[in-house]
Amino acid sequence: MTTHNDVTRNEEKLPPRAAARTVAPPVDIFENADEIVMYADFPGVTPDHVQLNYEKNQLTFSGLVQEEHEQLSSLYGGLSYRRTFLLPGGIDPEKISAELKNGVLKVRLPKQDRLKPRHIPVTAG
Amino acid sequence: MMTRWGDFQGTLAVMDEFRRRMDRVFEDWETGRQDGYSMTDGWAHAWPRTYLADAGASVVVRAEVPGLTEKDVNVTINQDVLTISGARKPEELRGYSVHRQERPATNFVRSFSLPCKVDAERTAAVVKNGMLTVTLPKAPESQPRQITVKAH
Repeated sequence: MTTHNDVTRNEEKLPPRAAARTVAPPVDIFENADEIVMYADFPGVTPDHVQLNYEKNQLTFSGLVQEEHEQLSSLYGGLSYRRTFLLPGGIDPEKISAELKNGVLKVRLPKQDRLKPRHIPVTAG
Repeated sequence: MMTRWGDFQGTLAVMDEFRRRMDRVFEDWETGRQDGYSMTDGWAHAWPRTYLADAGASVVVRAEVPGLTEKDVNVTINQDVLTISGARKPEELRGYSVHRQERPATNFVRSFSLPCKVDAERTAAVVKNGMLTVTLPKAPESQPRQITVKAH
């Protein structure tokens, strides 16, 4: 329960908003019985500049663009991508994984075992 | 009937959630509005996003091609026109239902008139981390020249 006197306010736990420009990257979201999979366009981001934050069913991912070209640094310097999604309950936070490949971030959110469909074997009586 | 404490707590949690959502309603929209991204138009109207910069001795063209490798992109120069073409394949996930699809598969061709004559032989194109960078050295006659100012 959250009250005004709560020492740990929600706002303080949220990832800080980048001071520089931030854009919302386009995202694909897929789901099957076992997991939710997200893809986000992160062009120009290297794996060590990606942040994932999962709290109270809220997933935030962000990435900071690394620009090498001097002439393009005014354009891309300090540019970051950031997006937040509210996920349905039942995601196993321990098993969330992410990989970045060719400027695309892939996030896998496995569901908790109790939510997975179960096959009930039928035996002859 | 008396309200059980659990229900009350549940209601508070919902209100808390609601407040949190309201705090963030305009966030994506605001950030999305910058830089030509538009949440309502989608991203497909000019893909890939491309920039052109003059680096003095060369012209640099930058295109955002997330998910593409060097095999997926073609770069050609025909006289003063640079053409970038290629295809982005869809994510191959079988047996998944789709909740949101903002990055569709697409075939693209974009052509740019270059601002000056370039040396096509020495032009280099690199794809790295989903960014295509084409560096086009200017032809000798297009190189910037420093004019010495003399006292009269």
